[in-house]
Amino acid sequence: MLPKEYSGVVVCAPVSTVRPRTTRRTVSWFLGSVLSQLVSRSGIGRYEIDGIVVASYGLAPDNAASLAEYFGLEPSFIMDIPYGGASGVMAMSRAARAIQAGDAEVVACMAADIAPSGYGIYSNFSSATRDHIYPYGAGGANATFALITANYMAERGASAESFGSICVAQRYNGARHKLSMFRKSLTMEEYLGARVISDPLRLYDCVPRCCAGEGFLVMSEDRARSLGLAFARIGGVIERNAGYASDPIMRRVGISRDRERLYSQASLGPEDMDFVQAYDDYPVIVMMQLEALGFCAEGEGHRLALEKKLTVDGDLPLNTSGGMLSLGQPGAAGGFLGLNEAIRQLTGQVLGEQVPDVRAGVVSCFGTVNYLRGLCCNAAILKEGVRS
Amino acid sequence: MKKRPDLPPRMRGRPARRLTSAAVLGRFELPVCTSCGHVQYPIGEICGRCLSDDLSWQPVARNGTVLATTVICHATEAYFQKNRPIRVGSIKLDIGPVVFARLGQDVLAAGQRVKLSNQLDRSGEAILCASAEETTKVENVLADPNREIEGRTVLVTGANGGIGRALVSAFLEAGATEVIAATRSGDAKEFSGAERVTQIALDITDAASVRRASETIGHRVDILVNNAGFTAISGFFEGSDTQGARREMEVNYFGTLEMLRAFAPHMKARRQGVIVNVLTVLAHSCLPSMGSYCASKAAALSLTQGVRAELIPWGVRVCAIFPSTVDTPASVDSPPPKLAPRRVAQEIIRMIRDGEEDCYPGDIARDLIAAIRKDAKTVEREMALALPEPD
Repeated sequence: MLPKEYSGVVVCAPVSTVRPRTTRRTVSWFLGSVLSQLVSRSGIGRYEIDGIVVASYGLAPDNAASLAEYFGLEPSFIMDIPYGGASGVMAMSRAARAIQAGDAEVVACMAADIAPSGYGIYSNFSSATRDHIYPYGAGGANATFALITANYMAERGASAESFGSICVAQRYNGARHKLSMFRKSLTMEEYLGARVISDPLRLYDCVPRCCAGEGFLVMSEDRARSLGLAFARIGGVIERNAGYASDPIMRRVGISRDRERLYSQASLGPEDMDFVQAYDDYPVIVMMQLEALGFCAEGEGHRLALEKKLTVDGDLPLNTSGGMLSLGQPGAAGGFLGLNEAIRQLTGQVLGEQVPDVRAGVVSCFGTVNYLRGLCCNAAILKEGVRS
Repeated sequence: MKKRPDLPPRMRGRPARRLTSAAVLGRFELPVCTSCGHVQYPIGEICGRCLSDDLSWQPVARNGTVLATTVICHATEAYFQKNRPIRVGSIKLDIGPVVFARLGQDVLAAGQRVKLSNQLDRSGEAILCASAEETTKVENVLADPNREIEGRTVLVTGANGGIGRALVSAFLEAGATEVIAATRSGDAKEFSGAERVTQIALDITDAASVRRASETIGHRVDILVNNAGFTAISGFFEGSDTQGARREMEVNYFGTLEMLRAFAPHMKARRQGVIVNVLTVLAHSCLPSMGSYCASKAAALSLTQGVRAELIPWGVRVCAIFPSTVDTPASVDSPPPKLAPRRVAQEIIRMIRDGEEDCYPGDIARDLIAAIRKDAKTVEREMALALPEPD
């Protein structure tokens, strides 16, 4: 049985803050900046926001309730989702369901994190990373993804160039985006010649940290129309957490088994997708998401990456904003980048280059790297609504 | 005092800390579900397969196959940044779980068969290490300089006693550059003319004597074995006064404390060093016929725990050995079986080389500590029964 449709609910008002590499501001400042922009961009009264969903690793000891008090909101629906890269679609689907259920009318989905100075949050990310990963010398997810990448290369026959083609295409897209940390694109020679971070991962396989906030609003289509907002519709959502636990090493993402469910909700297929926004903390995970979403068979993502033109003007536009590789990774707010770019593409509010004739696209999220694998996976199809 | 050395992270959750108490004894143990037999890793308190909370820590088979390897070339912790590159990998254990482990020299590629060990890092916490399956010795995977004996200078107190003499020759055989044999006279004939042996006069109950020794040789002592001890072999009510009991405390507790206070600062300054305290398994449970001796060793055990905590942050490891009765002149009246002094000395060498922290040599000490951990009161009553019937 397919889940209840998301009809009547729309996503709108994608906002992004400044994105410095370091900051003396707090996470709450970035979230406040997001909320302020959501209000000014949408023209909605602050008190009309009666739901907030917050994604952040670094917000503690604060939470959605303390933020509501801080920002003078009195929401009937609050939710903290500390699930990093998986948080964008997760925030949207939970907000949409709350609206459909009548628990809230206008939900602000917000995410922010700041690059920690000194010791990273990884030291206390989860019991398993604190006890069994961090004391072994792994300061973040690099070592875990090095193992996953090494295994993917050995098992699937992927080449360094196949990963590089994703990175090069994304930096091409990013060079055209207003918020990119890099104006310059990347060549394959530069990718292959970069220093090794954790063999086989090189510098450009890893995303640069930054400090930023992202946000969007979820509300009824009627409300959006009355506010005169451009919006996109939710065509379908799938989510799978802690999937394929019996795979000794991560070789596919959890939503692989849910693909049919996603496309059936939208009555569309992979061939109808005008773009793909896939969480891009490491290229190997982008490949696994492309496989899971049906753009190729399982294990063929590396071939797809070499065969298709992945740039914003290509035949499979991938991470059209440049992804985190270009815009930087602001912790949990990195999980909002793909969704915000999808909304921008579908509503004609791009900060980079517009994919021509977009009707629908897919956003795939992945996050919460716990013990040697990522736990949270989800994906959504967004469809055109009203353009700006 | 200069800045403390950078050390690996010490933070662990309480369930995972149990891995450290196994590593201290060089054991490879994991929690196993009593209900369904599932081996738990990552370590928790609830069985991931059947949700039972009845888990028991047990020695488990340590063989497995490498899934993938990597070399960490960039680290966030200063300790790892200094010690990179760091080789790690994921290993599928034959008994089920996948473990993230540091890799030994000969562990090179996916598919390779390996043997896991549970080793202490320089913070004194457990790290799982993988060595090639055919490796027989405990590989120094974490490259801990405190596990080397070759090239080191060793100071042995009470060097003319039974264990002391065995220690001097064992360290010489193990490749120590110099063994400093400390005796009260400073001219024990068994060491005269011995190559690589230096003699010093040292009375550990005399603070001035200890200070002089530390000023002369402290800077070059890498390994200190606090072996000097005294026993009056007396119950608490024997004799006309408490002189024997005081002497035991003077030597076994205060003497050891003087030595630590004098020699540890040199090691701290070098961010390296090993201290071995020779205790007895009776430090854990009093044998009333030599009760005051047990009390002094219990005090020395507490001292060992305290100084260990204070010295770990400086890169200095404090070890303890807990033998049962050792066959020495001091124990001539004790009933057999007795451990050979040579065995005790060899176990100390092995403990240092294998990077362990505690050692219970021989079956008697091992069984006794297991019984004490299981049910200390039963052991206490059994010890009481060893006293002769009152007249």
